[in-house]
Amino acid sequence: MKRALLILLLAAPLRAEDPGLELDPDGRLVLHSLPAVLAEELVRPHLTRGLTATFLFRVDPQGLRIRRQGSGARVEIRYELWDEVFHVAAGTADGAVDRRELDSFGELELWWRDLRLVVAGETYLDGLDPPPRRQARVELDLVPFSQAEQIDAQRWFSDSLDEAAKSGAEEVAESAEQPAGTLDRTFHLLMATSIRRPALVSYRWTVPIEVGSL
Amino acid sequence: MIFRIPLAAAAVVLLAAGLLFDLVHNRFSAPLLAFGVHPQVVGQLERSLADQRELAGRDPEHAALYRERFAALETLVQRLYVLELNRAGIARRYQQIVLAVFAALAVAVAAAYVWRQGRRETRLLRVQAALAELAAGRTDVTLRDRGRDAVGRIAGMIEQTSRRMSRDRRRLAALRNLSAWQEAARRHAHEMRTPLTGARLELGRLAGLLESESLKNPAEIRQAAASAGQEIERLGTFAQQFTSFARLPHPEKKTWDLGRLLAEFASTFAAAWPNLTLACAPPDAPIEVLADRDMVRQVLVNLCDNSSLALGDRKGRVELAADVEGEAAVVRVADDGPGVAEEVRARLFEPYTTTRKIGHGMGLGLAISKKIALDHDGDLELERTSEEGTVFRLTLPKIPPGPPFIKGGERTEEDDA
Repeated sequence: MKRALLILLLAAPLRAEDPGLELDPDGRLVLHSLPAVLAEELVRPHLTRGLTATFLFRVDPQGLRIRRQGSGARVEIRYELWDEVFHVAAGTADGAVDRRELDSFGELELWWRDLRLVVAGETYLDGLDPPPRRQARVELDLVPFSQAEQIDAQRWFSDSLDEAAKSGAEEVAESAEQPAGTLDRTFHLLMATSIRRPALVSYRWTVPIEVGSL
Repeated sequence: MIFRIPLAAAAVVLLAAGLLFDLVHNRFSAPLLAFGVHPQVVGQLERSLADQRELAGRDPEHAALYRERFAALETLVQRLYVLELNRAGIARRYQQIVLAVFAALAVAVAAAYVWRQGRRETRLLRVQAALAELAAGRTDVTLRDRGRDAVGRIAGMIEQTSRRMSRDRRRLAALRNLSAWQEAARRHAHEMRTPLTGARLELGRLAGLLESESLKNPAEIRQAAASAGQEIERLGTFAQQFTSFARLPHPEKKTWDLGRLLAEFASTFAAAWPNLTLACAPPDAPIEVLADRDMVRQVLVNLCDNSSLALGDRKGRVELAADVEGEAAVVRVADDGPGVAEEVRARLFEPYTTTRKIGHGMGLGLAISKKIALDHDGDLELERTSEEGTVFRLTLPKIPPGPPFIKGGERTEEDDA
């Protein structure tokens, strides 16, 4: 029952306090005042496991067009278990990457709160008359590990299955150093590729676009 | 049998299930357990991580070693986290694979069933064809179906029946041959004994005449000598019949108009049999055949002989008619006699087959006639017989129309015209 409830909670996009979205004088959409999602029960455990947790931001503005293809930003947080520090990196739509090392979760929260993420590098206004209400749909997904970690886990899983199958075959045939058969390899490969990078937690907001001094 | 195939299919599925169990147990379950994604295992690993850090703090000299161990444990824990986060996906993939394997097995079983049914149908068709051959009288039927099921057993029985039929036929032929030889010996003995007895008696009488008063009556001596000579002549005639049968000449075939040939025969032999009237129905168009005229005439003579003898003292009629049937020319010789006795119909064309008394013919006429017909690439058959009459059917190869008509093998201007 608890599990079903958890799945339901995970499946449904969560809501937290709204972030701010600003159109700066350079025509860039900047996300700021990020909600304090890091401390949430569903999020925090994933930040201290030593894996690279990735927060993916996507923005779909109305009344505003993005000149370049693609928009959004990503924040990667990896906790170094030995040194007990957070390695963070914020990549924005304008190509900038801000890397830091934070000593505690409190510092991380502060850094998060003060983040200003450029989610669209170049925009222009719709020429509609009357101008529509400017707002944007903001989406945030938490992916608990990076692609490199996914590939590493897939390879390890497949190799471990091979090793286990080999040791199983040795018990039966008592023959050493027999490579896994094609069928076994195929099976292990199929199993290994079932490891994916699901978005564990998702947030959705619709926020007004604050226009700076244009 | 209805249950056998489903049972076999069920056995295959069970076997597959066993293999699948082996796959699950040895290839998947055990490794999965080995990963130890159980929370307690992960908890222990996390404690080990903390221990390594603490050990490094207390034993700084070996900090690098603890750091190395820490890194290894950290990697393992992280991988386990990844597995844990994908547990549902891995289980789902596993179910998909199992489902695919079962589906493949089901398809394989269904394909095997269809193939088996198709093969069975093919085998049944072969058995049906073999039975048809057997029914048609063939005795060399082979199927080479060594299946242990009902079809295989039936195939074996058909072959066995075929072999038995072949053996019985050979035995029957041998017995018939023996019977024919016995009948021939009986007839030969009688045919030779009668003139020999006559000749012996006449020679005895002649000897008596010579010893007594014979010289006073030379006419009686001459009569006795002539009588003995006649009996010996009968023996010679008898021997000649065998010679004729044994040395039937090869037909010298020439092109003849069959209608004209029959008309000439009816005209020439009109008075040959006092109790027979010969009639010939001319065909609508000339029918050209390649035949030896004298031998064809011999066939007709034999048939008319038989009709005349069958009529006895009664008068009768023989009608000759020519016709075309497909690629063959057909001569029908129909009489209004008493018909052929039923007991001799089956072996009518075999030598020494006759209903006449011994001493009144050897029963070689129809055998000779059949041989002549076969030598012409044709045939002689008994078409029908009853108390109202008998019809024999003589088949001869017809010359297809086209080249100019050649009579007797030579072109004649008259016929060309």
